Amino acid sequence: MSYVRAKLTLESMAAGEVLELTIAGGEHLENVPRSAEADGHRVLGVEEEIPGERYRMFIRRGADPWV
Amino acid sequence: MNEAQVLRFSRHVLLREVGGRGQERLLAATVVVAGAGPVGQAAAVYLASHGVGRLRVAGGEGALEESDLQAAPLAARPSIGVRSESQAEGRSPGRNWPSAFDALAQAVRRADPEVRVEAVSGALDLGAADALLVAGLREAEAGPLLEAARREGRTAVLALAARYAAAVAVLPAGGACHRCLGLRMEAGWPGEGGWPFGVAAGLAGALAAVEVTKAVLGMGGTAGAAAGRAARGRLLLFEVDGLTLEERDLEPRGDCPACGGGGPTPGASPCG
Repeated sequence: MSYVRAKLTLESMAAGEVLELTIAGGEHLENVPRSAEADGHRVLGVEEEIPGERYRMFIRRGADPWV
Repeated sequence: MNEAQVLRFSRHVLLREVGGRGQERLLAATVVVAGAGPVGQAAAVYLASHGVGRLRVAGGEGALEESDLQAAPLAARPSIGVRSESQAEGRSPGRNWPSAFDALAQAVRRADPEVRVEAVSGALDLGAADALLVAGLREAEAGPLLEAARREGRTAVLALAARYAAAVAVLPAGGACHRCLGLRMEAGWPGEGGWPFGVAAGLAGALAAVEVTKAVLGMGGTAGAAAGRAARGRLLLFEVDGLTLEERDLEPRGDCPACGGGGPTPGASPCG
């Protein structure tokens, strides 16, 4: 559900705005950026807060989302 | 969307073409389903599963019969002595079989109890509807509904099943009209070719639910050839016996007695 909630938040933002979110490690660390890029957003970076457990991710909302 | 809906429709949200906004559009949508037989039942269940919030269903007052089950597996077989909803309301006397509408409503509630399912009697008002689905009706019944949808500038989806064929036509306002479709069908109106082989009805309903959902979402091609096809209309023909799927672009026909190739004039009487 990590990217589902991130996507709902991104949809409420204006193009160009940056979403900062905290995600767990493991598969979320791979799935969230892949899904965001596939939706036309841009992953600006990932910071490690607790190695292997918690990360901060920055996603710029795409300019031309489908909906 | 509330938390339960986010969970319920999370896989739709992940789809680029749907997302949260598209899902909210579906949840707020009203779809009119004209025809509560096997085609309409299958379509209604998928529309409910997709999250369409309100289904207004016309037809289906008559009780089902044993022989209907081969094409309507979603209809719950009644227990002896159990009365259907409409019988309890005094709308239909003394039979144990539910009406087609009740069977549809029960199947929809199994798919999603949050969906509002309403029976429509009398004249069909498309006023608040986002889309019209004409499911399994003959041309004499379907024609006036499709004409009304065009007059009101709404896309209509027509789903029919006959023998081994499932046919779904998307008829956008301003594109080919249903009479153009009839003229293109070498064997005449596709729904009048005999009772459908069981799964053909379900396929017609499922394919129609896809097209209605796309219409509500505004999908169907936004550029180039896809946009042109979406604007003119499309016909999908699935032949169950040969497992073939054919897609035809629908063009308004210059010799069509109803629209003359230019699409029907708003407010004009339908041609015989």
